[in-house]
Amino acid sequence: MDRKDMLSDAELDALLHAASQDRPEPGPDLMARLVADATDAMPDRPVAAAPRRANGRSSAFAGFAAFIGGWRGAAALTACAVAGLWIGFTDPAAFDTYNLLQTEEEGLGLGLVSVSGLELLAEGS
Amino acid sequence: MAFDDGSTDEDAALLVRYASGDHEAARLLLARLTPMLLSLAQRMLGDRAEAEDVVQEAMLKLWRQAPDWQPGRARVSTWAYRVAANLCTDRLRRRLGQPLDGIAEPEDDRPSVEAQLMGADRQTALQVALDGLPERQRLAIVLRHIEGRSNPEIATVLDVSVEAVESLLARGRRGLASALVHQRGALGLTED
Repeated sequence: MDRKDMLSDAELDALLHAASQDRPEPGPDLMARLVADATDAMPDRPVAAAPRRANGRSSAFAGFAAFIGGWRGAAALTACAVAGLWIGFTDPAAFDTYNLLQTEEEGLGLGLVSVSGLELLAEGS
Repeated sequence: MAFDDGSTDEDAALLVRYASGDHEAARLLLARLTPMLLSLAQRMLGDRAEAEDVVQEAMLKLWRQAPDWQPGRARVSTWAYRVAANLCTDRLRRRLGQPLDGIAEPEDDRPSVEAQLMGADRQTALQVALDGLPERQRLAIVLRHIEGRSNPEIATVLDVSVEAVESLLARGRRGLASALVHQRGALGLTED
């Protein structure tokens, strides 16, 4: 473009380039307002970032433990399993339901184990 | 950073961190976005106080969008430009006191612009000439030549095709060149 009634492309580009180098700087007052807005608008319940895996591998046991309520749940389940095994290897006739309830108060310990296990399970859930 | 250059959108990562409660991410994002939005708004509106209000409003919209932001949908900077551009357009139209749908595109060369240019310094002269352009031509010129954005990104901001952006730029440049021609002396340009 080389017309007398218009600036040339080179002249216009020089002007626009100068303008691009002369951009307004935000002042401290504006930045303070913007920071305050950002704080006020921050979500009350932040969106959680994606969880990171330890060592980049998943653990089947960790997943199962989490499913049953963490280490407390795992401990309670283990206690119950041991108690069940113990009952299974002992003479069933000595531990029928009626006798078990009766002997609990006499300190056989089975009732104590079971109750503790149930409490732990409840806490872990 | 261009809209479609395929690079990582660092702004989006900061926005995700903000949504998870990271205050430092908000400060970093403000440091990145505020200057460019302020520059656009001031060139569009020609008024510092109004430009700051636009920046504040645009950033508030961004913070509110943060929990629902979908990475990869759009670049944060492009989204912010678009919001700020719309806010500027709203304010310009309110100044005219006309309904949004009733705006006619003015002629590119307006005598009143030349009259205003008398005695203006270089940057003021350019600003007055920009003010004389139709809104979308002004937006395209500012985004391309002052903010350094690519035509595809400008097309996204304006919600038009790249060809339409090229047309807006060509008409905008002609309008500026014509409005400023009598200010060669004030602009420090010498006529060949």
